[in-house]
Amino acid sequence: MSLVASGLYLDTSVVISLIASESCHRDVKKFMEEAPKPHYVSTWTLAEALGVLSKGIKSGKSAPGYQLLRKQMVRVGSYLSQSEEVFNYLTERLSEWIAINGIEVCDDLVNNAELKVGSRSVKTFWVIRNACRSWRLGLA
Amino acid sequence: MQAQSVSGESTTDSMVISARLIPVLSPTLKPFVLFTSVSLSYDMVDMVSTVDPRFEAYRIMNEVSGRRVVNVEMEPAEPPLDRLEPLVTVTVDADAREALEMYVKAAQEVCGKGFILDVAWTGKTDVSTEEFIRYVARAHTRMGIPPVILDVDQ
Repeated sequence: MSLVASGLYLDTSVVISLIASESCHRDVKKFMEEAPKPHYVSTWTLAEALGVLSKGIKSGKSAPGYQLLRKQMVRVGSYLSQSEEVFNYLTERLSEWIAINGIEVCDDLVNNAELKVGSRSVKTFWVIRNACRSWRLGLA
Repeated sequence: MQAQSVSGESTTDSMVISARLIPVLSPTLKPFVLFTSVSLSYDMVDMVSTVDPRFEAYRIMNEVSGRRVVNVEMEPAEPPLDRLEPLVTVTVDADAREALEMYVKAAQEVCGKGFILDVAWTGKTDVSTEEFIRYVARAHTRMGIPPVILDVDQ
């Protein structure tokens, strides 16, 4: 009996390994091309990856991307709180990564366990993203 | 030959010499369109190398911007960016939003070239801080710059 995979679900550790990889994006893309398609990632996984990456930056780990962002922000002359900067930066990085790799996002059922980004409890990647946007626009 | 740079300085003979080198490096570029209006601050001798990050950054951004590059500068990156150094900043004759859109487009091509691309602009800063972060994050992803280096077991 043969077992045929209908796709590849990326778990949190894989997502983090790929996004935080020091190798070039093209190497990551090659890996993604060779893995069985389609590729899926759940909102829960994205939220967890967001939390782990955020925690890594805030804990002072080596953060090339975030440090470059800080350097570049001199040109716009205004800053956000570190939490907002990290959140905006990482959510956009995850979104772009999903888009350029053609990954499908599953709106799965959310685990009741607690996940946090900074002091905020996270239910799904998209919910917190939209909530923050509403908050900034004064809608929440 | 003399021309006026963006900073109001007169160009010098060294720029004319470097302009003559450009067709050898890249026949598709029009050197005099570039250098009659550009003030370049680096040593032109280095331009002879086809792997020079400044020239590569110039080539990529000039294509994306439609020949609106006005300056190229390179600096050694400080830790933790030194893993990916050097940092090449290309200034384009545009407002911030347009420059950042060019930056995102160019970023994909920079990946694997051995330098980090940054962008500056001559026009107004017409983006919010949040928008700026979004553009930059997209460019960083395309360039393959890790947001943070985590331990394997995390």
